[in-house]
Amino acid sequence: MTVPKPRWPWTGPYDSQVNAERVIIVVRPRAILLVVTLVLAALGFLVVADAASEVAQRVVVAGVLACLLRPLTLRLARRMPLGVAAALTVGVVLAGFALVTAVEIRDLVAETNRLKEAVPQRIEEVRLELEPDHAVRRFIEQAEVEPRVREWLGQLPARIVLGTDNPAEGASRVTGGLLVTILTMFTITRGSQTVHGGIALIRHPALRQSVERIVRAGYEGGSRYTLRTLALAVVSGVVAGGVAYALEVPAPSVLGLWAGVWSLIPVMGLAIGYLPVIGLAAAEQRSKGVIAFVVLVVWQVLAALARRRWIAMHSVDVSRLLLTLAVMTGLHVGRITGAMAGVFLAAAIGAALAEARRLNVSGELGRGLDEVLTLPPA
Amino acid sequence: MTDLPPPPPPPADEPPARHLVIDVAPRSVVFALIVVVMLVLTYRVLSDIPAVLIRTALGIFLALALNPVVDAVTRRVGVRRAVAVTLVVGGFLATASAFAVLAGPRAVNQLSNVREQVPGVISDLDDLPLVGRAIDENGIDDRVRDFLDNLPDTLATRDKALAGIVQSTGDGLVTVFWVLLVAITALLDGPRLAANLRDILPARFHAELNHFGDLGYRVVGRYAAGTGFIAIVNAAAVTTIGLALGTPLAPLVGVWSGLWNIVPQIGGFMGGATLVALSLTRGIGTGLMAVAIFLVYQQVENNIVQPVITGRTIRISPLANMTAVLAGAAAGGFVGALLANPLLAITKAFFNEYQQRTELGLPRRRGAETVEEVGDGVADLRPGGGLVAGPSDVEGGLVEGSQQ
Repeated sequence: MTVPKPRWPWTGPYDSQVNAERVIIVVRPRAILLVVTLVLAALGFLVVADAASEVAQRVVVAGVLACLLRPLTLRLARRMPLGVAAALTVGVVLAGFALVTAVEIRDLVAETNRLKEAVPQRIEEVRLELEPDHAVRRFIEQAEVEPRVREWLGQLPARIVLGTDNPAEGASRVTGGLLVTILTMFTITRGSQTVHGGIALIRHPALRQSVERIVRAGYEGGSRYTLRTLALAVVSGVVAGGVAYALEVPAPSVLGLWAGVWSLIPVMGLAIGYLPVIGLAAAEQRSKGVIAFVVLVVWQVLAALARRRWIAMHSVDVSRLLLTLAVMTGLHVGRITGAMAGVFLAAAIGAALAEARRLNVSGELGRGLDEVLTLPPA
Repeated sequence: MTDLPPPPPPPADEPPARHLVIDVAPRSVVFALIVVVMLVLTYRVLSDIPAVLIRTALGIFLALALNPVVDAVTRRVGVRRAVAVTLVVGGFLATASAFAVLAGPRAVNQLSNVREQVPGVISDLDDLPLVGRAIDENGIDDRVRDFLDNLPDTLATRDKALAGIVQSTGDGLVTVFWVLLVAITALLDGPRLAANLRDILPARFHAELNHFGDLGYRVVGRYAAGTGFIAIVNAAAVTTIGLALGTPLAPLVGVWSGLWNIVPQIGGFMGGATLVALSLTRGIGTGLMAVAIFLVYQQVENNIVQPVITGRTIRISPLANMTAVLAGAAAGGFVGALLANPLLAITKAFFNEYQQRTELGLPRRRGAETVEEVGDGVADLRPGGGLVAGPSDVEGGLVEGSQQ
């Protein structure tokens, strides 16, 4: 089959013989006013959205927390008013968070105090072992490595408690945390009505029903998946901490927290989370390292089974690519909280997509969209 | 280009123009503005997380490069995709680890010698014709020696340079992990995720989506796989040249050159310049030999290896190629330069498809056609099919030359 040489489709000759009718287009003043007003409104919205990006992040976190805490709140609300149930739920979670933080900080501060002595001492030993002309020794001396490390380790407890060594920034973070807590309580109690009210604004019945089903699927799938994933992460952390404690590895609770957070990342996360436990255990004694490694392999298999049989079958089978992108982006933007929000959003998007696919197969979504995209009769 | 004939003059007895009053439906304005606002907000959010975008793009590019190998393992060994991904990625990591273990200690040993060798080489430069006297008169060898002597102090005091190095190393490790993770998950779940996303849209669009998706995948996938393979060849060649000439840090220069080789046009120069600069520390003669051997290798790579490997995957004129790479680098640095070529190639492939349909009057694809049914090059010539680099490319104005 021969392919003719392509021509530009718009270079056809201008047909000068056609007597086109002359038309003067008049745009109604009302239409101009409408367009200008709406464009200005859109610009205003963009300016506000740009200025309020931090608030938007907190609202997202509060929304995710509210979705996760809502099932427990509704269960409590059977015996008490919804507002009281929400306050109780948030209070219980905050108390648990404070307890875990206190244990972690105690462990971290103890380890930091040990490091404050050990690391500068080791640097000094290395310096004295080297020849006076050695490049590393000259570097240690000229760069004042030892006092710098000592100073950095001295600031570590403040960094751990406030998340920064700057008190003003730390206070700002605490205020942000309080704001998120209040927003979470509001979202638990009023979020559902707000979402339903928003969906009710859609006039087309078929599209409204489709959107309602997609949003519900996203909420339910996201909540179930995230709660189960968090439960598995807690167990992974407890296993890591337990192994570290049993093998007398330093800072077991910190290692447990580390392994738990890493287990949120699919495919390689759990293995990387356990590496410090194995490394530190092997540094103590080689046989301890082997024991930690065997425990890791066994738990890796069990966790994979739990993901498939307990999480995916009872909530949603989230794509590992989507989950990876969401968790890594969340970690980058908002650390542990961001990672948790990432897990929820990935699961919610996965569940919503699955529901949209089902609706599309049955034709409901297509009918709804057609209603919106088709122009009304003149 | 021929000039258009002037429009005919209006006849004297022309009737008065008709007035057409236009009103604007509010919902059409609202819909258009919602789309614009969403686009602006998306851009704003994405521009806040450039690191995320860069790592994700690199991971997907790596996945596309490894995908043909995974497909081949799945077919020939007869295992599930997950097993094939494990085998391929495991092999990739094992090779990288073996290289690090073998080359690492040697590189560290050589690094300690560079400091002594550089001033000697600079002193040799005094004997060069034309520039030797200027180097001698300006005391460049003394300046280099002073710079090396004061380097630890500079690192410690200048704008937190030491902290910057530590942070850069940490960021590098995070980037490697992130890229690898995205690549693995994209290899495992990429096809399934793409199919799921397609199924959300009405079935009448599926055949078109399959066709254009396959077209885009073939262009980018072949480009990524070909580029990855040539980068490995380049790294091996530069390492061999470096080891043969006794260039310091030869294995690391090989890796560096291979990585830069992924970037079209300027990548070859960056790798070669590093090889030559480090070869100069062994003497002027060694440096000149490095220049000569590298230029010969570059010719072999550009004119023999590259056309064989990438074939007609991306056939864009050097001018268009260079412009795209520079624009991509300005917009997105290394990743922008890396992705400029395949994006341009996709645009060209889609344009060819449109042009063919317009010229041949072919209908839009309909029905439940799958990626497998589209098949390879032969199927592209069927009605409605497109061309990645087929006959129309040869006749088209943009097409000529090789990639570098």
